[in-house]
Amino acid sequence: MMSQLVLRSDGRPEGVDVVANPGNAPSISFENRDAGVYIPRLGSQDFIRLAVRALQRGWEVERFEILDSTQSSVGESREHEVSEAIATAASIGGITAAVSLLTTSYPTFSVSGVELVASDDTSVILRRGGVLLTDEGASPKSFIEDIWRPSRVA
Amino acid sequence: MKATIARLSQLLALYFALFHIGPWVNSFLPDANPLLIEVFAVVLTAIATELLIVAVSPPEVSVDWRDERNPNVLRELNVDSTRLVAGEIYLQMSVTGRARSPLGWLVLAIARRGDLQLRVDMPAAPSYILVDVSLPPSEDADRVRSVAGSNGVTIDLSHPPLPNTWVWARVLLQPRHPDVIVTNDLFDIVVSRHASTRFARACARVIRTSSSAKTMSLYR
Repeated sequence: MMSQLVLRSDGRPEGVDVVANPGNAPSISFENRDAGVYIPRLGSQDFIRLAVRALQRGWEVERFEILDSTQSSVGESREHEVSEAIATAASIGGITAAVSLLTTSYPTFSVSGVELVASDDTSVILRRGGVLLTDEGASPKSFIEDIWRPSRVA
Repeated sequence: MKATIARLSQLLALYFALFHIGPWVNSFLPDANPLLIEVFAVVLTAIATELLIVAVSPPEVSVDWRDERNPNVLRELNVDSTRLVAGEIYLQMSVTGRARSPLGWLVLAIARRGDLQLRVDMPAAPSYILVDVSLPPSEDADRVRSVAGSNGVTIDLSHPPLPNTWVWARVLLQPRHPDVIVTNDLFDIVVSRHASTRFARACARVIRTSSSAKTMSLYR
């Protein structure tokens, strides 16, 4: 199920909302500055921060989505390898270790999304611009409450 | 060069204070301790010249832009609109701090301890800056962060400056609308600074801010 995270007012974490996006509309089309509605600006460091928070809350990091400098996918096996390395660095050394690894070992790659799995096996995929994919019928509430709000990203 | 001239001028002023002003004042106050007068004259002159150097050449925090594929500093962000829509415009931002006198460094240090922040924005541009990654990494909050609802970023300078680059970030320019309209407009890149405490804010006002690229524009 595809939905869109939007921030209200001044972008404070408590002002986050989930809006259905069944038609796969571009994220930016949800932004309305006059009405104080914005999309989150998520980069590699934000996905890593969210992943570290998720690990602390007992979630699992299934994978990071990795793009090269031309915004192309790096391929499944390479993505798996880089994703594993960043997730391991994040779980051992936190944000500092994971960001350092990304910038030194994979300087042309960036993280464009993260898939997180909760203890009840429901998964959440968050992508650049605040695109949110959840299992059919699953609510992103625990993701918002447990991970998004305390992480203070975007 | 400017720094050398400033330092030489200061040395000249100190020499003059020590060997001319001291004895001259002493001729009016024959009972005063000549050593004390000389020390007083030198200290006053040092303070006055430091203030003058800061006034003429204030401490500076500058943002240098580079293309990922080109190591040269960019003087303008001239962006391919097709690549902008595809989200392929990767840029690097390096922030450096400079001062030409100890007082200038002191001003920078006080502002830094008062949570000095830079804000880099291009308010009228059809794109916003998405921060991909920023260094040095921090567990608490990222050094460079996109500002929701604006086109710009905030840069946290509250940590000690690094030898070469105080803060570095890789950013992506992202379109603000699904369809970007190419015009001949030049969009200003604005750099401003903020600090939290009153004294630090006063110091921050002395600091000059600059961006290597002053404008952003689009081409087809």
